[in-house]
Amino acid sequence: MYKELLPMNHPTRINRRRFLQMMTAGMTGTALLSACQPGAAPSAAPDAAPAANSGAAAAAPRSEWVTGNIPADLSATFKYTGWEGEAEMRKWLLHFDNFFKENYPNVDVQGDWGVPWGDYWTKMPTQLAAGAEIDLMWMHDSRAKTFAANGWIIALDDFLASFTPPGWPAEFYPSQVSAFAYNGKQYGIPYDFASGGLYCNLDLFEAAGIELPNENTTWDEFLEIAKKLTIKEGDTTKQWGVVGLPTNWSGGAYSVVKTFGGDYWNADITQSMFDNEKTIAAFQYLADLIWEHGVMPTNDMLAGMGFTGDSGVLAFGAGAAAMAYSLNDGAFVFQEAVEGKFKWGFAPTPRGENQFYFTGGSAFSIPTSATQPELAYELMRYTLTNPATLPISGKMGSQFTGNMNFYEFGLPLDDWGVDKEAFKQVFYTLPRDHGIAPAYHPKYLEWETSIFQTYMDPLWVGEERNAAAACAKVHEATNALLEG
Amino acid sequence: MATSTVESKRKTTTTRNQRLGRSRQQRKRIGDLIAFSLLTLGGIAMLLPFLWMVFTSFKSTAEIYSYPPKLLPREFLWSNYIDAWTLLPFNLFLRNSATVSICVVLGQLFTCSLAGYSFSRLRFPGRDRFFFLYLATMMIPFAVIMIPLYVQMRWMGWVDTLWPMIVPAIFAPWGTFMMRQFMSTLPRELEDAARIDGASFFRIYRAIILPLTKPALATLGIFTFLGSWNDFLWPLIIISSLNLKTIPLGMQAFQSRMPLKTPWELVMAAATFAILPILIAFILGQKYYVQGIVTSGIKGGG
Repeated sequence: MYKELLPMNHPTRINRRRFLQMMTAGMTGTALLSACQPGAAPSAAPDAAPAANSGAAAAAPRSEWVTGNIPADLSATFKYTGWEGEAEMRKWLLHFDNFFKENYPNVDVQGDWGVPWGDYWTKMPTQLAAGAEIDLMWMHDSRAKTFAANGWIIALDDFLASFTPPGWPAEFYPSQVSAFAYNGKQYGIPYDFASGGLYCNLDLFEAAGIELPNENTTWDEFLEIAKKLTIKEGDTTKQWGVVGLPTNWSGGAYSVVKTFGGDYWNADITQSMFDNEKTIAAFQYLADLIWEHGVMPTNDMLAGMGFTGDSGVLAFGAGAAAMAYSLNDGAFVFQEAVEGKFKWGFAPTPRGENQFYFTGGSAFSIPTSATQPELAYELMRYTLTNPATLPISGKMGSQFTGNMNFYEFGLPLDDWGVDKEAFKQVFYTLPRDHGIAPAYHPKYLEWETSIFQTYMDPLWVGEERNAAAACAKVHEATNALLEG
Repeated sequence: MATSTVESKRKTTTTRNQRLGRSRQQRKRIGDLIAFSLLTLGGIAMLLPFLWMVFTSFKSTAEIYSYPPKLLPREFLWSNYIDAWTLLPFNLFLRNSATVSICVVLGQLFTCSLAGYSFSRLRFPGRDRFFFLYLATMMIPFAVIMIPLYVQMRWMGWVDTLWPMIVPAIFAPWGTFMMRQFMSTLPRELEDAARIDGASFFRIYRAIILPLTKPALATLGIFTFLGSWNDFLWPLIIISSLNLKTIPLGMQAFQSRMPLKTPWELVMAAATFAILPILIAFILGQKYYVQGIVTSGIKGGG
């Protein structure tokens, strides 16, 4: 307030010019002072640990899990993307953390995981087509060939040849190794193995006096078993013989078609085989289970019984279905659904003139736009083929690991009270030896949504009872697609 | 005699009119009853999913899967809201959605009102052609431009930031069209008077046009806010970091955290959180929203 009373030319009264002069002098002085500070000291402390590490790394041999081409003090960003949620990511995060801490402590690892399945397959093609700098991505066998054909992921052959992973490829499931190969090149290292089989209510089998299906049970014998286990009261079915056999899921249905002796297309995928009588017979059999024999329900029928959402699991867990088809990781869900209400076991899916079981799985792949492809390969090799990490992955995950020799870590837990040997036989041994992955090709996804599901769905909802008619439409459209 | 005939005719006419009037009133009442009944049924049908969502957010997992399904929970589990808020960084999702939506709304209000005024009032060569060309871009589906847009964002170094969700969204052909249509209905005399008084283009825009277009601005703001708040596809593609996700992406993350068993009660609680700002915005701007839709559609041309 007193300054208001001072005359304008009073020394203590600052005008604009004086103010600017003082500010300029102050800033110049500050800049000079800061330039006089001893250099490098501020960065000495943070760099001490990495410097010590690189020094130590230079003196000690590098880990067997690195090629040595990438400097240990690499400072870069490593990005990965996947669809798996927290439950499955725990093991990967653990392995990634250990790998980078030990070998590349200065690398900033950024993960975008937990992207929902459907959204992941919208996001990834868009990002990869636009050249997004993603170094590692989760890949599924149903999409691998599409991504490879589009040049979105790189072939790993050079890496595999120069820095071969332990046990590659002999110790990996043959169906999965080939599922991630395209035109003679390898595009992914499988990280898991999924197989299909039957979960059985042993109490219901015992009450009916029926033996469990085994690997020699035919589809006709299976039908008789399902009929004996189906209980109807008037028009209402109180107990279904079987739920969940693959129908509108083309991947699972493929194994059924193959057991009948049919196929989706010829060997070089240029001609549809939906006009093949054995292919048609397989789909007719599945449709007849629902509409002719009434031993297998649709999801709507299960919803009518109050089983919504995971209807097959809920029906089995409630004792309303004697057999349920699912994959090996379904055991965790069935365990919770059954909750000790009855004894349950496992049986293989029937055979026809051939013996096949559904197999599938996922892998890690390296996008073409990766900024650190060699680093990504080292990480893949460490995580997926390391005898030290594989047991951890098996125990912490819900699937078998990609390496066959570590199957034991994917078996049910002892306290579940189930026959582990039977599980091993149904979900590991038989699929390992007779597993078949669907005949994926670059146009498979387009075929599945626009042709298979479009023309086969009427068969599963009752609008069409004749599989030959539905298959004829699929045949015509498939040939048009394969020619195009 | 003639008087009594006229009177009796008048009485007959009056009685007939009274009867007609009463039957018209009755018809109107019946019509109103039917209309209100249908509207009530429609309102219940619209409201039921929201009620289901809110009540499900208070249930336990077992109650959600129980059969037959029950609307009301046995016990109101308020802990579901705490879990939904803390399981994932929901506060960050809310912050990101709010930041993006508010920036886009403010940006669109400015650009669309300015462009709408220019297209409706300024005369320059090719004005109408430019306008139609600008509108024609609305016909291009987003799926067609999302890859080139991603490439552009990558070139600008904006991948995995909030900028791609804000900057491209600031320019909206639909908003420009709506503002242009509304501004075309404003009397030119006001501008002429202002121009005579020496007002510049921006002075007229700011002091005269904008105050008169409040309903249209409110409508545009609400639509833009809704669209931006609920946007899923573009944020899905451009955002990778968890702490930059918006609410729609965050809610998807609830399902992906437990792939075998989705915590639906937490998803519903998160959905209730997500819907509250939209509800508030709509309630506050409802008057302008309805007024804006009605008024902007009456007259066209410039």
